[in-house]
Amino acid sequence: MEEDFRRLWAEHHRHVLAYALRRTGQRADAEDVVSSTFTVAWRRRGDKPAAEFELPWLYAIAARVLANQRRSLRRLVALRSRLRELPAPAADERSDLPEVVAALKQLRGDDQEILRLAAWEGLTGAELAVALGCSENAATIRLHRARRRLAEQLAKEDPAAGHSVTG
Amino acid sequence: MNDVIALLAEANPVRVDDLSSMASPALGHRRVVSRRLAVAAALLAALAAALVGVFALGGHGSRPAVSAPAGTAELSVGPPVSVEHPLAPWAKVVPLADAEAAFGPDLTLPETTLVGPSDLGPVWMHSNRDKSGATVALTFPKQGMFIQYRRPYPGSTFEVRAGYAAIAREDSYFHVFNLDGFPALAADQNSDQTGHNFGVVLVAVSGVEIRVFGHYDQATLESVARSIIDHSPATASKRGRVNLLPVLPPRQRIALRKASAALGAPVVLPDRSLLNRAKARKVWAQGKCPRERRNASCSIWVLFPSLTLIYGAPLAWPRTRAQYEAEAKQMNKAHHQAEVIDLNGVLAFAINENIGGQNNPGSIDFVVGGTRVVVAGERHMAALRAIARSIVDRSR
Repeated sequence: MEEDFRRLWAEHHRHVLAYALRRTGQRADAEDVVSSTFTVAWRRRGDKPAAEFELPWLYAIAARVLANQRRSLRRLVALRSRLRELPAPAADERSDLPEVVAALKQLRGDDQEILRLAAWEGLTGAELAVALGCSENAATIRLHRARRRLAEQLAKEDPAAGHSVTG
Repeated sequence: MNDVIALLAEANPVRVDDLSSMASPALGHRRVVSRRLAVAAALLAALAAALVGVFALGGHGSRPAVSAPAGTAELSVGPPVSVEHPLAPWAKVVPLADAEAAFGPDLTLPETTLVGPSDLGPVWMHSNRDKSGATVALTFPKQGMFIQYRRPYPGSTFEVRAGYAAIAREDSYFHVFNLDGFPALAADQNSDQTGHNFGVVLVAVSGVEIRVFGHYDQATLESVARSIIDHSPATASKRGRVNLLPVLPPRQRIALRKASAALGAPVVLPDRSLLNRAKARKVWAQGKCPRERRNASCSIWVLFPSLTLIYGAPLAWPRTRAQYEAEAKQMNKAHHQAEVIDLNGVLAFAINENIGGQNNPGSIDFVVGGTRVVVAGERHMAALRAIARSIVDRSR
């Protein structure tokens, strides 16, 4: 089992690191997420899916780690929450974001996540389903709708660009 | 519509191929944990999880069990933490000199009648790859004790105290206290439902957290932690001089006289009778200063002992009294003490955390002359109000 876990780490930890880094923007924070994710993965090794779905499974764990991190911080740090719009690295980066990422950030959180998983983590139907904990059919529909909303958002922000908003 | 996915893919901010690897977990060191050590491991996992806010272990969204039955997988997985292996699996044994080099002067050994430098066993370390911080564990096998040092501890004194208080609220065997003026958290040995857990004292000092583990009473563990604090020149000199609110990168240290130019707007300080400007220890320009675009970020942080003044662009929300009151109502639901106050005609949002009855730490947040100002400090709210009011008056 340890060998299998070592392989899991060797094959996937940089992908999970990239996943976390895309969402936290900080290497140190991202490494914390990776550490926690693999700790949970080890603990839940009995639930580990077939090899082709290992990475989406790790993404699903990492998503929960990130979500709980955010929730906990919100709960614990009232003052920080009051200062949320003071400049921080993320805010600073926002001013230089590509248009499509700026538009992405205008969408609902679940739309953002499925689009990131598709575009940045490169997941497709069944992998998305594992990562999101839903059926493949539901993942496909959610992705379709999220893509439409992103296209609409882009069109709203830059009508001249003419992003298609139809299927 | 596929073009939006393609566009987004092109904007991928992180490429896996550009990332260096992390150190591989040293799972080969895992061993079967005894009941006592298993509980300690779980306790540490709970602490670590609570402190970094990771509560999602076990796939059921709850806090990790601190006291599962001995020998179950619940406790024998994850980082095997014990005196023999006191950090996460990817930590390594290093010479003390390496740990000192990575950690800096705050890595001070304890020196009490119970434990001293001559008792030191293996030293473990896990450093952030970007060198932004490290966690070191010193072991004292003869005493059955280990001490973790973590840098940077994520948060200001406010946040540490709030974090500790939250842990204590959720787990009754933890309690918050002050160790020589520093926020601290403790669990008594054998106090959880198993009756076999390590005692632990955590104390956060100037960006470092020290965690002392051992089967001793709190007074003994406190004395060990205190000896570390007392013998550390770096921490001792900073006693009572905390930085409230961490300044995040990108940041640039500037001279106070250049603060207004950096912000692109007046940085108005309170009257000298309220605050000695010579005591401004650091002034940071955070973000891209001066702001070149309306939505670009720039703020000026002026750090005094136990007081921080922040100047930046106004918030988009709240702006009106009704919005402020709605915000206060929301915060008060979460057991904070927030209120809308009037600073000589300027609306302000005041938060009095008052966690643990310490010095009434709080903040006052307002917009004056087109600039958002935050006055945050471990001072009585009356003092913070006087400072805020003075800034308002001097801004007119």
